[in-house]
Amino acid sequence: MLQLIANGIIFGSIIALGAIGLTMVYGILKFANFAHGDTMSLGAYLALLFLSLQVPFPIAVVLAIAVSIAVAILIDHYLYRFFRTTGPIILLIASVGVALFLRNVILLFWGPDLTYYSRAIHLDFEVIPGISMNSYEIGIIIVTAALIVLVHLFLKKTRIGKAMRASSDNMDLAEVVGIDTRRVIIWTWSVGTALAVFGGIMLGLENGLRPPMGWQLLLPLFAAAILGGIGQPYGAMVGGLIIGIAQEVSTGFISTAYKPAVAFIIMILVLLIRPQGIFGGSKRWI
Amino acid sequence: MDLSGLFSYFVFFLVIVSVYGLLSLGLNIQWGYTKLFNIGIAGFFAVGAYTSAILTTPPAMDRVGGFNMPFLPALVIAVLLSGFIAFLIGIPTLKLKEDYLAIATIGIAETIRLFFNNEAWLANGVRGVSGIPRPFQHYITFNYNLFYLLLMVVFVIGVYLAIEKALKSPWGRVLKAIGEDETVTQAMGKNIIRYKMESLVLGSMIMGMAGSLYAHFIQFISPEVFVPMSATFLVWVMLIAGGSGSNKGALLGALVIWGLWSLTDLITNVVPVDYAVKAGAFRVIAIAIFLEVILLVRPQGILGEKSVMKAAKKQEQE
Amino acid sequence: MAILEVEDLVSGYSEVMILNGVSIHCGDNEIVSIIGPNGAGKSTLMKSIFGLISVKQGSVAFDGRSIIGMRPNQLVKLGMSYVPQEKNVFPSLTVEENLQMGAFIRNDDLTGSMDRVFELFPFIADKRKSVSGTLSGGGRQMLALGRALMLEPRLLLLDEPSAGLAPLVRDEIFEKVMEIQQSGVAILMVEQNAKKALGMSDRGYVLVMGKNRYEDTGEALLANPEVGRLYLGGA
Repeated sequence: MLQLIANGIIFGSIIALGAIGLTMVYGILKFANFAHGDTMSLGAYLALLFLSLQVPFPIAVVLAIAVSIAVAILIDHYLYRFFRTTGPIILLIASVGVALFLRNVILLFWGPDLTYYSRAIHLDFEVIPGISMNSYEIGIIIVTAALIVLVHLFLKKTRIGKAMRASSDNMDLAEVVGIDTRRVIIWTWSVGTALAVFGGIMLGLENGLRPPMGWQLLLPLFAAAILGGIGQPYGAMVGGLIIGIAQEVSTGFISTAYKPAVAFIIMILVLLIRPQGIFGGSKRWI
Repeated sequence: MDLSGLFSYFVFFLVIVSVYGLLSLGLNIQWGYTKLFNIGIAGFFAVGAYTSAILTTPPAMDRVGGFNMPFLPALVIAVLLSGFIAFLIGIPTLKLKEDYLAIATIGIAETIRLFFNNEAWLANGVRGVSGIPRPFQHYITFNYNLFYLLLMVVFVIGVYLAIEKALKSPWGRVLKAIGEDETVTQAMGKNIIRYKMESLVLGSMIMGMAGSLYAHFIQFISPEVFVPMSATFLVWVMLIAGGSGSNKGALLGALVIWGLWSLTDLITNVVPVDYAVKAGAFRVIAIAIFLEVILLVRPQGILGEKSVMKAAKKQEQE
Repeated sequence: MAILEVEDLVSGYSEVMILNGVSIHCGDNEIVSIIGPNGAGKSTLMKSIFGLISVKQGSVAFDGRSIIGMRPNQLVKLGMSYVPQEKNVFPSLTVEENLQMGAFIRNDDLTGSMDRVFELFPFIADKRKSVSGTLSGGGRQMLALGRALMLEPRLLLLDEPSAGLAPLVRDEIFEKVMEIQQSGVAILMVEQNAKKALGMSDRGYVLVMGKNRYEDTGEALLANPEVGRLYLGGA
């Protein structure tokens, strides 16, 4: 049981990183981005590409993030931008198209088979009695914690971070008071994509890489975002951990194949009981 | 391919087009008129197909059913069950913002697929159900596929006429009004949630019907058939390309898009096996780009009505 | 010299024009009020001046320079701020953060500007760390005004600054508006509360059906029997 919870924290960290970006895009650009999971896959595969070019791992991560951000901003500029006035559903449909596009581009270049960043085997060792992890997994938890602190500082302390919160509150007013909303949008894609790529690479480290890896994470991502109150990064962090733990603990009782269904059922329960999410209500972004 | 081969390919092609036509008509009720974003078409399609499969097959050792039930009663049950599941989904989501329905429907579609995938006792799991009987087979002395095509045409025309008639009724006018301006309709004192629920359930029932008819034609179903790409996304592209809000557009979209999809499939089959996966990926990329181009260039589709807003915008530019 | 000059302005939404040739101006350090019945296009006028609604015809000049087609973040740089009617604070941000957003285009230290705002509005100074969503209606209006002053504008556009406020709070807001004007800021204001607005204004316009029908000093408009009968609620 303890081990399942620990696994849940690892998996939950990955979900949280994805869900933060998803919820930010929802808060500021006001649409459910169905391509977010595939952005995670894209980042993971780009890291694989740079690693295969003998680039050291940290630099491969940075390059993967940079290229993914560029892709996200280009898609926004050439596609989503034109739908901002037509309402959230057209954006949603467009993002489903983008999701398929990204996934199949990955399939085209890297093929359908499971691949790994490295063939090296990392042995589990007992971190505390009853919980075993390998060095990757400890790294995932530490990096996620660090990123969450960074996101917090970014949103609370920087001018653009505050402007993002302001835009999430009221985009029209942000425009009126003289905030450069185009810059806010670029930053939103950048931060959301960077976190997604981190999440994607971690997922690749933990489970290996397959083209549908991110798409299959979409349901847990939405469940985490809705559980935390959609539009709220802090909620998404907590939501991610809860969904991750719930999914892993469920494997103690039912088939592991039902993990996505567990996320879905939690999501439906939240929608029934408290649709604004656990942190929803007037105090957004707090 | 000789002439008769071409003919039977064409008949087969049109049967599949009719199945997609039904899915597209069902989605048009939900999205085209009421702006309900159902992205779980595959789920309702699967429920219809599996219900019919389980009910009509002869008894099997290793799974539930079959019940040897005749075609029509099984079809009715399949349709009702699809509607019932749509009803359950509607309860938590319809009163919320539109995107929640999208997320919930894709969730239910995935859950249904996982369920059939893993619960082998129910429908044989990944191996699927085979030997689904062909309706009225003993009475048909000519080309059975041709008969099935006629049967499909009867269903498609029946559904089409029923929808058209329903949409001209006061009930249908309210549905259209919700799609055009929800707040105004609400202000008119209409119970929006109830109408949306009816639209969701009705559309999903038609999707279930499509599933049942598909199962009886192909005679074999497995969870693989109900992946989001072929069963959900293509239908969306069909409706958007054909013109959401137009039933003729929904049918035309099914024909055109399935035509394009089959054409690219022929190309995929020609290339060496090593490239088949890549060609398949390329095909999806092409259809995804196609969708985005339609959204950008002709969002109302081939036959879609221009909404009032768009007409106004046009005028503004002139 | 006029800081703002609007000439023959035609604008509206898609096919419906709401303004059909409005001409107004606002001098340096003047308070100008625009009154008129509901639906006359008062708010549309403000939004059109501030570039939120595209202008079909006519000219809008700030400081002698055309500002048509400019985005708000360019206009605030020129020295013009706009306070919309409602939902005019960011509810999840603190009072201080709201003020910082008013000076988004500035990179330097904001302490000086912020202190001046807090001096003018001691009420919100006490709540600088509170989340602005918890402020009262009056508090929010003060915060919105304060935020608009963060870039030390030369012209302030106010859309119904007293809307939804209790009479006592309303008077306080109007006093603050006078104080802002005395510090050297020109003010163009749309108001429902016409008598009060004209009473404190140098000049006023009566906007009817998308056109300015009357133009005079505030006092003269108040004294005009026709204006009084039609637009100031009774004789």
